Amino acid sequence: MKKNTLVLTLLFFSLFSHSLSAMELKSFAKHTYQQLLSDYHDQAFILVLWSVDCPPCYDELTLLGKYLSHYPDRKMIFVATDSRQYENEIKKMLTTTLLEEQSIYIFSDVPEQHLRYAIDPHWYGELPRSYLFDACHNRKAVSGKMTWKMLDDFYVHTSLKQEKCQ
Amino acid sequence: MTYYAIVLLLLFFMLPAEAGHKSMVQSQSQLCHDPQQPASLRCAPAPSATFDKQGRLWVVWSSGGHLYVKFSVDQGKTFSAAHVVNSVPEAISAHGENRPKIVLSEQGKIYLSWTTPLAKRYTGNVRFSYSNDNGLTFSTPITVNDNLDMTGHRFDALAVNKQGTVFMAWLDKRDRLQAKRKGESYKGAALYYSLSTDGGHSFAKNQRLMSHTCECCRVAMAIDKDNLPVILWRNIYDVNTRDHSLIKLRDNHRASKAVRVSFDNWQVDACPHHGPALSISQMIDGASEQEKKHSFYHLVWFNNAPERHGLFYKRMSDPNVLISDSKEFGELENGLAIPFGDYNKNASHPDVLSLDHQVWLVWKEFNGEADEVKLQYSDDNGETWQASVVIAITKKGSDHPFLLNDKNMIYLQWQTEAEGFRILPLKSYTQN
Repeated sequence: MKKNTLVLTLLFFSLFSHSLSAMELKSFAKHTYQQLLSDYHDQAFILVLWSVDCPPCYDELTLLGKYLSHYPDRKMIFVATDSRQYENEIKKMLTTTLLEEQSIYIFSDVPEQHLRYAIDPHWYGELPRSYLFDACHNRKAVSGKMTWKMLDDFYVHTSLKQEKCQ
Repeated sequence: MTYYAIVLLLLFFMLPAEAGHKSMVQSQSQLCHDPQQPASLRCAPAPSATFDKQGRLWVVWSSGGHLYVKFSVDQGKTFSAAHVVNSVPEAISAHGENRPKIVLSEQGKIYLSWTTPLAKRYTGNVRFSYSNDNGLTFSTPITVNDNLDMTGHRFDALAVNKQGTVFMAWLDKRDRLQAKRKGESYKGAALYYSLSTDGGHSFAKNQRLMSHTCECCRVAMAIDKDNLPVILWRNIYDVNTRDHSLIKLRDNHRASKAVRVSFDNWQVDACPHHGPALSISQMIDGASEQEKKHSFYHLVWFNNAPERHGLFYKRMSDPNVLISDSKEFGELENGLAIPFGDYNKNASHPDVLSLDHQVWLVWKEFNGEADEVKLQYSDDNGETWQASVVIAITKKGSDHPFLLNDKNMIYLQWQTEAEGFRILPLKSYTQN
């Protein structure tokens, strides 16, 4: 029994570490924000900005992981505002919150404030910070944790309506 | 002289303290990423500095698990050799909101504090060391928090009064952990406090000053004219309103009631990573008898509420002292907060320094291409202000700006990725 437990534990850690190393953190540079808008043209999505040094972010990621497990077709893009030295910590948090399969970015070497400014001059670094884009790419900024209802309201009542963009 | 000429002049004069020309700057920038290189102040992510009574500029920074201290007798142009504080390396928090601190007593003792993060996320201990021999040697670091649970004891603030009593305050999650163990919820962290009356050999039993504080913004502390500390921090009011609170110690062990000092109503369940600053002035020259009785608290902070957002300045007196004729101090005493900085340029991370009737504000802005430090000055105790002026620029990343006082000469301290550690005298910007 003990032996089986040991084997299973080793197997788990082996798979976990393999999953960590396989996870790709794409670099979020100054132009990336505009690139994402172009890539997801006509598509509703949420851009989620977070950091390993932000206690509410962990709660946020946990909720979003559960939400996406229920609704895997709903698009979210995750951007860690940390530097590359925290890559392992970022990967661990994304794995434990079931988000490892999502589109994942990490802030590039450009100063953090400059990248924030490229997204939104009125975002001052508070985290978590999310931008909700409807299919017409009307943008709504949210500082702080989102709720399940907020996500439902956005995806069901806002983004899934097939309205013509003005 | 035109605005642009002034800026160009500054760029010329604000040479890095440890490098003299562009090619050296570039090569040193590369060296910062080489772990084999010796610890360099130029590469430090978040240094702190202060002047002593002799006009020496003392700096503390961290590298590779060690704290280093050195001083300059020429306002940062050249430095002494660096001395290692902790012989046993440990993790050291060194970023915008949580950095190593340094203060010096009137008696010339050097006091340092910092946060050492622990194995679990969002945890840490408050650490402390001192030097009695001008920074040649430092005491073995001690942990100031008397609760050693694996939880948050972070974002330390440090001050020393004229008698040499050392005060510390920090954000502490021991009560949150206790609540969690009972299956209860707990908003944010708590503000804890301790002091040392034996020169930093030991610290008193920790004392909770406030429950439910914001959990990742720096704490500000300054010493009032009665030699007791005043503490300013971002608090959580109601469900999730992140406004600021101030508390004054009545004696070394008893605190007055905390008072809410900002009413911007920023309701957010998030980490702002954006703490306040505080400076206390005493009226000396040309002050009325009424003014001489009081000290003046100068507060700056950031909030991002839909209705009230950006940087704010406020002046107040000890809220526990009844001022019968407050009109003499002008409208500011009625609690109005004045906005400053350009919200569209990401005006952020302000610092304030007051001296007699003079008040200096500095903060950071981003103009789309470069980081700027802006200065605003008042010579009438914050009643009226000169127009803001850009005093320093850098194209790459930069630390928060800080104000330093050397025998009534005021300096900007600014660490930048491209230029390193910089000290700029502000005298030429504040003459009428």
